[in-house]
Amino acid sequence: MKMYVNHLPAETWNRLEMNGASLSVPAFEDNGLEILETKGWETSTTKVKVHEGLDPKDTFAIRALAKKGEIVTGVGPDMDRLIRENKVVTHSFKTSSKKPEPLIIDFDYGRGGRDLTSIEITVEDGVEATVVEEFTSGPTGKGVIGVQTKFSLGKGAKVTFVQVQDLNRKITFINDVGIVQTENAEFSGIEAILSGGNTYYGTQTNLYGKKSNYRLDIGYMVEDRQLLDMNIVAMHIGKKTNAEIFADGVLKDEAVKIFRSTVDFNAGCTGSSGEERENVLLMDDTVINKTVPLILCDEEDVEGAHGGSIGRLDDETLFYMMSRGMTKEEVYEMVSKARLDAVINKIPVKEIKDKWVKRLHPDED
Amino acid sequence: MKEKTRVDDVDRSIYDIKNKDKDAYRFDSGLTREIVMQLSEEKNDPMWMRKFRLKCLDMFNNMGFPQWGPAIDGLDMDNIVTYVRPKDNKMVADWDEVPEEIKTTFERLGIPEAERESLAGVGAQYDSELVYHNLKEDVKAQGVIYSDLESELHGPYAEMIHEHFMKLIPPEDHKFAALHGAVWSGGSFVYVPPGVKVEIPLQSYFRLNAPGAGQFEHTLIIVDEGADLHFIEGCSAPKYNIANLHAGAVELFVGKNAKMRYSTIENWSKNMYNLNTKKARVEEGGSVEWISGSFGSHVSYLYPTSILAGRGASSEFTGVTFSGGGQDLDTGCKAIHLAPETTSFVNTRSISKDGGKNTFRSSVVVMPQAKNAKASVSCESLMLDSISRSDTIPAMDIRTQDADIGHEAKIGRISDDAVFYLMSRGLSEEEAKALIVSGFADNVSKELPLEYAVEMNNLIRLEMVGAIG
Repeated sequence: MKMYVNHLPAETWNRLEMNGASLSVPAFEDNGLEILETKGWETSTTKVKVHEGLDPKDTFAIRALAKKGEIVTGVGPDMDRLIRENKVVTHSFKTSSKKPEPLIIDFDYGRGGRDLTSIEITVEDGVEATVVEEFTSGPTGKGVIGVQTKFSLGKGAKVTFVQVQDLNRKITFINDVGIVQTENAEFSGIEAILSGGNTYYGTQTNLYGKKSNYRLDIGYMVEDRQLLDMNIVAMHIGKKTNAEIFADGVLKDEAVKIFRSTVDFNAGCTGSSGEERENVLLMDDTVINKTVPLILCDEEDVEGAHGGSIGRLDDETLFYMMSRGMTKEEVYEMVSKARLDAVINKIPVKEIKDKWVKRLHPDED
Repeated sequence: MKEKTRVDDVDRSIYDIKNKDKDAYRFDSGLTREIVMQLSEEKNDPMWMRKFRLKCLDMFNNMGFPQWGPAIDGLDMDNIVTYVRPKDNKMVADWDEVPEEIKTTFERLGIPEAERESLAGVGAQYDSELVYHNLKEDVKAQGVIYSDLESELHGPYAEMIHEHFMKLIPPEDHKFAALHGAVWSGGSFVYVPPGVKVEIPLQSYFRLNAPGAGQFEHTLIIVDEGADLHFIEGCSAPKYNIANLHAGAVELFVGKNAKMRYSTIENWSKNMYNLNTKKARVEEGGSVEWISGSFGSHVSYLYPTSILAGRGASSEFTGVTFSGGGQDLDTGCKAIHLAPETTSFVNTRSISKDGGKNTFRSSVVVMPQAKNAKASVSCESLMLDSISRSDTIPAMDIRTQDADIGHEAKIGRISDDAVFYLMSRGLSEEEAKALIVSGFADNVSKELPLEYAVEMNNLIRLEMVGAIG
């Protein structure tokens, strides 16, 4: 199937090649999801919802869906079609328990292959929940993998969603996230991308209910000839909604990265605010960094801001570190790991956090 | 009793002067090979230009419209007249010899007065032809050439023009560059010799009087090594109920260690499709500054581009765009870093009101060989009501580690506290907001000569405050 993914909600010049990504994917297998019983969560299966005829490039139609309270994902409607065409079952998780245990889903692609998973998570009113997805493969896995995770947050619900990706360079990974937040719902996303082959990561939240809040912290390291193609959208519908999107990353070798980030203020979202920030450290002359942070505004009474920096370490910091006996390479290594550390340290599940800290710093006790 | 406003002394009607062009010579509307050939014969083009026009026409016919910007469905080339020549047309160097109606129009716009008081030279274009061109003697004596482009095609600078014409803006760039190449008419050629500093600005003023017409002037400026020039461009047209089109082109060649400042106050009428293309190529140590105030047009696509080709080349873009009701203005800039130590700075403000739509669109590209490049993009947007729209679409493509790139943007509304404060000092709400918006746009006004800053602020006040009191 040919897919068009990660569409930029307001297109720029075509020759910049930033408006979206096209890729061909093989037929997938549904290798199932091993569900471990988790206290406080009910599980079931369902089918993915596809919006018939929805063009992934049709921003107006996508906004119209969001205004009805629907979930639209960052990768886009072609992911829904992919799941349906491959007849993949959607695994539903629901919690209404006050303090459910963290829902931890471990995706181990050690044997590679073609794997597609569809997940829907519902967190009812007033519930606080943590969901963790870890994607690992070891050195031998290869293939094309897709995961879609959709969230529905009830009134006053609070969700912390952690994704950690450590895949080998022969894997193409499509990671699709979509969220709808009702009144006073809070969503905190922690995204750590340590390694991969070609990764297409898209996440979109629909701040549908008033006073809903969204925060996403992304840390990434892209090296060798890896590709990281991202699309983050915060769609403000309800009044007094807030979004913060922060990304810190490092590019090395011949890495290619594109970061699309959109704060979309729709008419009626009075009193809302949205902020985007990206800081990228470039470590080689052979990298390609593309950044396109959008603020789209159809409402007067809002505050939107974005900022960022791209480039090398500043000379003063470098000089200071080298004067303490570090080589330039050691300084860059330390600084680049620190960017991922900042995100990893936000993981609220101690065992998982410790595991990934150790992965980043294997030589430290 | 009508409220007295600060715009009592600003006469909006000067922009809306319509001269009947019943005696003007007009081509048929539309765009055909025959029309392009007819134009080329009218212009007495050299053969290379004739062939070039026809090649551009073919390209235009084979290219699609851009899909990423404002809709231009209302523009039908079959209804656009690509050439209109005033009766008794000839280009003169004395305002007294300009036909009366046309002279009166330019006088009311303040052009002859500006020339007398503060300019080194003026070119005035009316519809498709230059009607006036003059350069002060002391500037001529420095070796500066400021002439109409068409006659220079046959003059001593013919070869220079052939080498440079549409090399920065090749017709394959986009559909309206191709259109321009096919039907361009009028415009100026400027050459500033090495080391010459032109102390006071040159100006071109473009007036499109004919309804349903297009204006396609070409401005070609070459600032040679170590030279320095400030060029000001102004434009306006009366409003009609049918579409007018402006697809002009500006090409600036800035030599080694040369300086070029290009200022524009754009005040096209609100039936105008302004699809203008401007590019500068800057050599080693050279600099270009774009100062841009956009107030008019129904639809605009406008992105002055700086190609930083030599070591240490720099560009600055300072702009303000005001979108009112019925306007969809897509403006911004581009910087392309091709050499080491190059710098680019962008500082823009935009204002949306009465249902206007404003898009800031930019790109900064830093290629691998542009070591130690620095770039900074800053955009602030002000929304004055909830029926307007403002979008910010900055893009960066960076391909070297040895670069420092920063970008920031903000969007919001006028602070209620600031309005309250000014109202408590006796201003009406409208006047208070007008003052705040003028201050918001001061990034551009402070870079302009005083007369143009005053005009710009007047334009802001006209947009902000209602009828003259």
